[in-house]
Amino acid sequence: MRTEQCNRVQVERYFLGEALGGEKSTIRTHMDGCPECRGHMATLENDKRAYLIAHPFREFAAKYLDEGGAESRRASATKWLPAFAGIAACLALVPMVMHYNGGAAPVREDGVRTKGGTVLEYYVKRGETITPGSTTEPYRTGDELQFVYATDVHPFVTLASIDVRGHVTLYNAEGGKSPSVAAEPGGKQSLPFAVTLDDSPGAEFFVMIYSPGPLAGEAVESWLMGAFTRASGNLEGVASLLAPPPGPLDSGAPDTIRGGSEIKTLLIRKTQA
Amino acid sequence: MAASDRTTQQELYEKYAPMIYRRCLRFLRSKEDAQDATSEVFLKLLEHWDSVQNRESALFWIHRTTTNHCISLWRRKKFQGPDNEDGWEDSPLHADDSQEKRIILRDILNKLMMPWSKMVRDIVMYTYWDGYTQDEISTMTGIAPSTIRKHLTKFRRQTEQWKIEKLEGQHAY
Repeated sequence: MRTEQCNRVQVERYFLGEALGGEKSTIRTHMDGCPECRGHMATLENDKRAYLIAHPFREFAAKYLDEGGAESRRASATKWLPAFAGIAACLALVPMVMHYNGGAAPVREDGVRTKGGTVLEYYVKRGETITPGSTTEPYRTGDELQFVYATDVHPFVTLASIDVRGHVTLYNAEGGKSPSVAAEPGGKQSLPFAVTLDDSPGAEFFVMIYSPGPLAGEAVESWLMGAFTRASGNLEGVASLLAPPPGPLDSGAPDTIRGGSEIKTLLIRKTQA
Repeated sequence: MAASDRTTQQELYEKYAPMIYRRCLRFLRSKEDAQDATSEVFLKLLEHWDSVQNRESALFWIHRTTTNHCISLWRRKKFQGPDNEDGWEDSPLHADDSQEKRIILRDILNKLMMPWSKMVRDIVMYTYWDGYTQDEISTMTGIAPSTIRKHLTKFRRQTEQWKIEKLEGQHAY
């Protein structure tokens, strides 16, 4: 119950480190015996944690403080691989597959599409040359990636990526809409957009989520950011955290992703042009 | 002088941006609008960091600057008058407020668009919008409780017909 001694502004000053000396000890003493003020303090801490996960400094800096900003660096080109059928199936590249099956341990496969399963492949366009993607070859700023997917059971696919700075990009998410794309069943299909590699250094970790429904962009973003934070910025660690082998599914995965979804991941290394 | 060192900027961001966002969201209700407003207010904080840290509590600066920024956004969005329900859903008031409380708050907000002194506007906003007690306002602004009471009395007299007294004590944590 709130008392005459309760003072939310003092709690907020204490939270921000502005309360010093006698004021600090007075507030601390009061909070020790006051569940209301302790609750206010806990709310401030939780809100801060949630905000910084959803809106980390690097995101703010990239948008407002860095030269050129981050808004245009990942502009998606229109898709340039409209007719996939003519491209040889042997170009498939699936470096890592992880299944999310509502709580079961993840299963990994290497480079093989099983019947009824999913596919993620990509092609790289540099100038006028198009080649199949390779995880061993580094790519350059300006290279365009065209992702190709196939799924027989998931009606939606979502492509996202995170770079070594922890910047998450949700492709096809302009205007606050869901980044998910309605998947066409059956054969391989190219996504309706291509991805242009920016000049950010190091590697880029791509995640394709095959899901039973469209996903909220915020959920995907906070999930990847959380894994990135827990992996201390190591992109290979992010892959293990999203689906540790063997073990329970990532507890941070949103329900919409955990429930009957499957993911595939791809680590692409970049060099400066 | 602005905070131009990247490490300092990050420390300030992680310390103050969540608090700015809390306040923006309370005013604007839309997460997207609140995030944009947070970035704009935080850029002001970086720009004025030296004066903020040397002259007053950053918390007070954040409250006052965020309030003014959000009021400015309302003005740009042409906040609707008390007799016009159009656009009410976009207003910053809480959806679960009672009809009577919504009307009273809306009246206050419209009157706050009028040229009150900054001090009175701050006191009124903290009292009726945030639900802060006079002691809490005094802690934040450094204004004596007796002065706060005096300004509130004057404000109430001038706005007696709005029956804003009914709002007092309705705010909780």
